[in-house]
Amino acid sequence: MSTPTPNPGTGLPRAVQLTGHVFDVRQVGGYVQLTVVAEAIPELARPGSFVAIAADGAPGSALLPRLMWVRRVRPAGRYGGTFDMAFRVSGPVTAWLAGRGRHDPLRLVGPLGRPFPLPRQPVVTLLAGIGHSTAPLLFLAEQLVERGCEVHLAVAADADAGGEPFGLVEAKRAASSITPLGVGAAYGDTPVARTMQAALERIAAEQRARVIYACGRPAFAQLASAAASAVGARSQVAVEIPMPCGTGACMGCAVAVPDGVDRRLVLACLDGPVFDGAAVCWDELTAAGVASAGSER
Amino acid sequence: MIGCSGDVSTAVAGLVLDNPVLAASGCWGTGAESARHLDLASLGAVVTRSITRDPTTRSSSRRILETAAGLLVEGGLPGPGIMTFVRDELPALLALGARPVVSIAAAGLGEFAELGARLCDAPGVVAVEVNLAWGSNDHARWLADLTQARRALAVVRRETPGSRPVLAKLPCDLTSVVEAAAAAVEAGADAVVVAAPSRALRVDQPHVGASPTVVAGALCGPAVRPLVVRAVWEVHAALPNLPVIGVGGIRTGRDALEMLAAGAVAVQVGSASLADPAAAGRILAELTDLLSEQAAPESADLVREGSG
Ligand SMILES: Cc1cc2nc3c(=O)[nH]c(=O)nc-3n(C[C@H](O)[C@H](O)[C@H](O)COP(=O)(O)OP(=O)(O)OC[C@H]3O[C@@H](n4cnc5c(N)ncnc54)[C@H](O)[C@@H]3O)c2cc1C
Ligand SMILES: Cc1cc2nc3c(=O)[nH]c(=O)nc-3n(C[C@H](O)[C@H](O)[C@H](O)COP(=O)(O)O)c2cc1C
Repeated sequence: MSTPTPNPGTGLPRAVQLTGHVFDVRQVGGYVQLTVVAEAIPELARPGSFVAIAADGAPGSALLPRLMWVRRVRPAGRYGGTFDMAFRVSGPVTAWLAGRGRHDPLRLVGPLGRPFPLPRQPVVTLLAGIGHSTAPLLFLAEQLVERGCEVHLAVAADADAGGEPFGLVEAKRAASSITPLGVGAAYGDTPVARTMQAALERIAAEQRARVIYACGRPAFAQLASAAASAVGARSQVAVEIPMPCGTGACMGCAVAVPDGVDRRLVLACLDGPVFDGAAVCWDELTAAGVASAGSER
Repeated sequence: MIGCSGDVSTAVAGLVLDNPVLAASGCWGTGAESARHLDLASLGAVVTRSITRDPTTRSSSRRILETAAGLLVEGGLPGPGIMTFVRDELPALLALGARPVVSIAAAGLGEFAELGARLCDAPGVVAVEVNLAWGSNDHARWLADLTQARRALAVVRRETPGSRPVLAKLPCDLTSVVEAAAAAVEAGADAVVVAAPSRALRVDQPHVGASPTVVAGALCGPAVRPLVVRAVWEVHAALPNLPVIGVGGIRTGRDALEMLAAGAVAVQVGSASLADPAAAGRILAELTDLLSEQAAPESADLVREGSG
């Protein structure tokens, strides 16, 4: 498994299964950033891509992989290409990951998912993230700026993550403005959700943002989508629902999308995780069972 | 046939397969996504997720919880319905060179008949696997009463061309899996798949006195392998002419070999593919190596041969 497998004519973005190696592990605030040397993934990953990490080596030998957003890539130069991910230690597997040392092997599949579409013209954009889900937005911000887009960032802290937003310091380079959104998992029509949505609407209107990009669990992604429609902007949202396998095998991440007058199911890991916020049946996704599945998997 | 030097082909009720490793129902998507990591054509066959008459339209009707040595799978059978399956998914699967066994699930006898009839002329289907135990409550009750299970199998057998084996997938948490297997044969099943996942429960109680939350699901993964090995062994011992396909907890070639040694003519690889999408191919390679090591004449009968 040390060499990437080619993808036959499947019509799907290329993903490879391989063994990468830990290059660096460091603590950044309350988050751990892991840099991994891996073939192909740094070249193939785009903002919104994620990887699946086999966790059977972790204590308790977890049977499902753990999924992590790609935070940044550095294509191969003098050394092999690397990519970064960021997480908070929230359980046995992340604890094991945080304890990996330089050169330790990691069995990976990636990059997975359909990434954020980039605008063809330079436009003003608002990027909204919560907790670790801000990671792919920082990757996105760098690419948007390269394309001449103006980037405004709004970051919430995930209540589960000890109330600390992710990446504020690093974001300063790419973002024209950074607005903290407060703390909250914000499920449903709660005061926190309403406040966050109002804040996004205000920034989008003031800055004349044409697109809102967001990443987070369904409730957060939904409120960002709602903010976009309220100000007449488009939205592209990465929806972090529990994805047991990440590769399309288990069908445990079905999302209903409108299909004419009807609806049909697509998979968040394969057809998403990035969706047009106006084209998702949010009602079911934000219902208690699905929204909170993150605490049960 | 397996056991003779170098040959790993096997037969399931007249259906000759190049090798005895199949991808189990529901654990490899619809084809294209797993074809990124695995050559589906290299497997003996692939069993589709259970196809129902009508499409599913609710988000995330399935949840998968990790337990110490298994996965608890809760929820329905996400799928496009039989019409779309036959129109879109089946041809795509055949284009990948796979040999599809179509798994079907239904809430009533009429639905089973419809599914059978719709598959009847579908080209390329190598066998039909009848899911009698898995899924939402509607689909799950067939085995509560063997008479009902017998009727369901008889209906599917009637609608399926004689040249196409009908496989009955049976769980092993029954009073007697042997009795169920015998009933399946009587109703017209040509082979049995042992075992469909057992019913299992997770009960979370945040603190003493709080009302517990319950997740009811089906248990898959390494936890069930010894139970399945026993069931395969018992069915094979009681019904030596009945081809048995073993499924449950297979993660290595050695696990597959154990299943074959217990009396299975073939094995299916399920949830191992969730963390390792190439698992079925890897397990086939490991099994082929083990079989060629063992191909010395005196050990050839380690692997029993099912009747074809
Ligand atoms: C597309 C995607 C990208 C992700 N990217 C990141 C990331 O960049 N950084 C990050 O910290 N986390 C990310 N996650 C969440 C991450 O996969 C897990 O939540 C985390 O790894 C669980 O930690 P653990 O295994 O150590 O702890 P566990 O004890 O196994 O889990 C800790 C808690 O997280 C829950 N959990 C486990 N897996 C998932 C899952 N797939 N989805 C939701 N909840 C889960 C568990 O049930 C438990 O409550 C992502 C999830 C998805 C679906
Ligand atoms: C995510 C998932 C989906 C499944 N879907 C089906 C299904 O649609 N029909 C079926 O008969 N079995 C289904 N199964 C059961 C598997 O086919 C297999 O019997 C079970 O997982 C035990 O094998 P394993 O231990 O190798 O996973 C599913 C299992 C999993 C994990």
